[in-house]
Amino acid sequence: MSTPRAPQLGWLLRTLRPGVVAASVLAIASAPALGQTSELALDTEETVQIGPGTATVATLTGAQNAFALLALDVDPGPTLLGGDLVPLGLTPALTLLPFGATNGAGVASWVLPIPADPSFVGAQFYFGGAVADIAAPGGLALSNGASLEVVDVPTTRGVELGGRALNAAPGFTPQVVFQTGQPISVAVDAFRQPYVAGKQVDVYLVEARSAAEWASSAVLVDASSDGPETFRPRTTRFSSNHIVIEPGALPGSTGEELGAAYDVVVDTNRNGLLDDGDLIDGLGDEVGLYIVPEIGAPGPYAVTSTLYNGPTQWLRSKVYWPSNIASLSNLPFVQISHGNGHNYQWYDHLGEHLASWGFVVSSHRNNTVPGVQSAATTIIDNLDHFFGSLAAISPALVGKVDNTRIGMIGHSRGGEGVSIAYHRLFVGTVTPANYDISGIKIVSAIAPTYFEGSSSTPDTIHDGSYHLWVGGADADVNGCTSSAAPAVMGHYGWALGERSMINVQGAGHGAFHDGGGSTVSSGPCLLSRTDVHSIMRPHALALFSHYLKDDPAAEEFLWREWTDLRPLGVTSSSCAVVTVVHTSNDASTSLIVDDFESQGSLFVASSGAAVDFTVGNVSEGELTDNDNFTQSIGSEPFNAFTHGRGGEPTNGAVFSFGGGASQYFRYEIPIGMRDVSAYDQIAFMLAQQSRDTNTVSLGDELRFSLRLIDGNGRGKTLGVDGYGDGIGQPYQRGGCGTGTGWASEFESFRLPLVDFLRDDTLIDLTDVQYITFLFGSANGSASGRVAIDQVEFTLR
Amino acid sequence: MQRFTVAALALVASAALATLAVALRPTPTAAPATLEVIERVPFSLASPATHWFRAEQPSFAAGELVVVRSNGPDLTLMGVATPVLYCGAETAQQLNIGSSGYVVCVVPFAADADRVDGSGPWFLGAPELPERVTLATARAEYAGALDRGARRQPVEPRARVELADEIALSALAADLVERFVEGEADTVRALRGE
Repeated sequence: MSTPRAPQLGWLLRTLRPGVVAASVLAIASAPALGQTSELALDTEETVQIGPGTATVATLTGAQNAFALLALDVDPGPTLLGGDLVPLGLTPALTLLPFGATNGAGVASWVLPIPADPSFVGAQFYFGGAVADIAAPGGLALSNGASLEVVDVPTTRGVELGGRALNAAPGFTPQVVFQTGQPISVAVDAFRQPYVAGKQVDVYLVEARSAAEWASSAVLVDASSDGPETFRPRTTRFSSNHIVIEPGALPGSTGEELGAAYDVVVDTNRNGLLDDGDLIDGLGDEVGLYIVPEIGAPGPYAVTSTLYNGPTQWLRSKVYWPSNIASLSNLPFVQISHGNGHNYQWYDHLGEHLASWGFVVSSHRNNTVPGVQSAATTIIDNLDHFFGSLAAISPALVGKVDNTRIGMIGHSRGGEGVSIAYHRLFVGTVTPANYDISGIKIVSAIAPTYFEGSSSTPDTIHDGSYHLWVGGADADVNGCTSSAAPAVMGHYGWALGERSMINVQGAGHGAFHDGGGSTVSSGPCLLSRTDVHSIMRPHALALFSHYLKDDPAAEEFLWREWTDLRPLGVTSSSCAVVTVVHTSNDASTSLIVDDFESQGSLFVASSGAAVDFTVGNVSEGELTDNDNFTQSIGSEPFNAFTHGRGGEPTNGAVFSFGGGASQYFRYEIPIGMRDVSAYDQIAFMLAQQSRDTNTVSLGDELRFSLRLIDGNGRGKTLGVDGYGDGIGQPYQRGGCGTGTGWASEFESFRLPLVDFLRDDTLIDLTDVQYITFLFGSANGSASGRVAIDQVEFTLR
Repeated sequence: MQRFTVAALALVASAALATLAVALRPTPTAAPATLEVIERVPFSLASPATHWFRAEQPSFAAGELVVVRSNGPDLTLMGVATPVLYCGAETAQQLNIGSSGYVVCVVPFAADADRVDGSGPWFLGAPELPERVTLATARAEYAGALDRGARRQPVEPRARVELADEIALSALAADLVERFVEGEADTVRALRGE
């Protein structure tokens, strides 16, 4: 606090003028009972910050059509006066403002302009008022206190504004990617942005501009379908402190980029310009949000394809590219490698789709019948041959395909083959002439076999980026046990770099290609080939757009919960249950609290964080089930987990809770790691353990809560319910031992850290001491058994 | 000129197969073999090919294309390991999916292997990836099959076809798939590259 110089106060007082503002504007639903007290607000708040040259409106609410007075002081008091506490210091600087009167709604108001004099910055004034009321003691209903601080008009600030409403605390969460049709909301946290508290502001959705473009023109041009919105952020009830600024009518991207880019601007001085004091989501070169159309639908380009026969029978392929390739340049490349008993002409659903979005795609004949090593040889040879034979394939391709942006995707034995191929390139046993391993940005495997997991030529892609597709109803590479070729999830553990996985319940092995015939599936609620392809098209497009185009709107499709970001146009079948998991494994973008790969003690995390818990039956170890899925957690705590196969970095922990009582699993962060303010999210992977008695008993999504507590003991708890679903129920497939429930499926959860700062629970993110996972009826589901892995703070 | 000659020979062979294929299907009077030999087409290759189905990956310049019908075991190609298909002490190269019960195979006359021909004995060994099977394993499997009573099948081979290379062999195999196997038009196109 600082005390203003007397001339400043005098100048201020000379500028004050009483006024009465329309009651319809100032009606306050929570007005006090007349005759008891009166209520004072500055711009509807008890505390405001305003800049020199601006004004605030003081409103005093009490009895109708009554005498009203307002006083200011430089000390907040309170002072005992005549048996009442007056919210003022009653210093010599105490000043009574011109008298006023309440109107028929019981409201009196004063406009309080602040001179455009920088010397006022830092001044604080305290206000108190009274309304004549015969029912009040002494005939006056005293008000609460209110304060005004004159502050420098802040420069334009970058904050997260765009997001969506939640049905539980915190009531709103920031979001970057929206799909066409989804409303876009904006929330302003007046606790964290007190300068806008109580002010009427205009909110614009503008086409994204770079820093240079903003410097060139600061004029706000609203691009929403219904014009800019006006609202008044409050310091109370953040959960309802948001408005819809776009109902979802904008079409999204019409080009080959997935999202149309927008910035969101809160124009605090309502001058139609981005300038000082305004808030922007998309500061500088950043983008506030993206609107994504139906990315499972064909992209903007027509597609040309051809069958190519090279000099050997294993150099045959079907190649797809945008028909207008002559007007495009440097297109990324995706090679598809089929599986055993499959055919290179069975992947039109991927080739046509990706090419329509600006990729060149080749699906080649793959020598899979001998085995996965032969397949890998074919994969390597075809990739090299492709880049060395562009003119022979089609003159249209010459000079148009980028050999530094390559994606590989294989199916079944081809899925394992792509990993082996990458390994050979990595260790240098092959040296292609027309590309380099550094050009391979992503290796993706659809229901890959697992023959070579622990051999001398392992199917590992080392620290390359890896992506895995799992079909829950696969009747070939079925995922039963970790100890044989069907251990499809084992590949995930071998990938040491950025990795992600999509698990499609009800999808059979043959549903991933379009060759017709059986979908090679087993289990309930089976998906048709059409259903599965409707899931594959958008997911594959997002995958390759992320890794090969660095498309900023793509990544969220790899980790956001399916119920939260279900691509438009995918099957509406209730059997289409999909989980996704994504981990960056990148120390430059994440602070890993526990990956369970070191510190084998139950009570110490890999980061050194202390672990304690009241949950039961806790075990830490490799997520490996070497026999069948028969339930026996007493002797086999990782039953029905197939993510490891010995020697892999695939450890995790499992635990149970039940009886309805509140139970926890908690980390105490080491002192040197407690500053997480540079990160955007807290992320973790959780799964329900299939066939466990608690899981069977629950028979539903498993819901829980997460609590962060800082070093001062301030905490905030958020229930996962507010964001969508909990941990998905395992696929209810029988076989592979007794019982029902197929391989346990991890899924990613990422909660924005800002969500823990809402309202008045201002956790200090520079000093986060505890991360507590809370279970039991008070926190979600009454009982369950959970596996946990990869707890970390991440950048968005 | 040589290529034209080989192609012409292949066409002749195809035409002969078209005519005789149905007639050559045996009408067994006794219980058929579990893996029944339907057709044998010996061939030679001007350019040797690689036998990917054995760990040693020997080359071969001759062999037989054989059509086998399963009267029991499922010969459908899978992602996971399935029983390895043998002809004598050699692994057979299955060229089509096989879900119909008919498979078209290459039996290579590899330089490092014991002499075999398309009469068999045909049998299924332990589940494994063929590329992991060594010659020693193949011989052991063969010995075991003989102990279990596996026998050759007296099916006369067609006249030997001289082919240029593996591509021509693939095309000839496509003809056999087209004639003997139902529901594998895509396999035929892939073998022909069309």
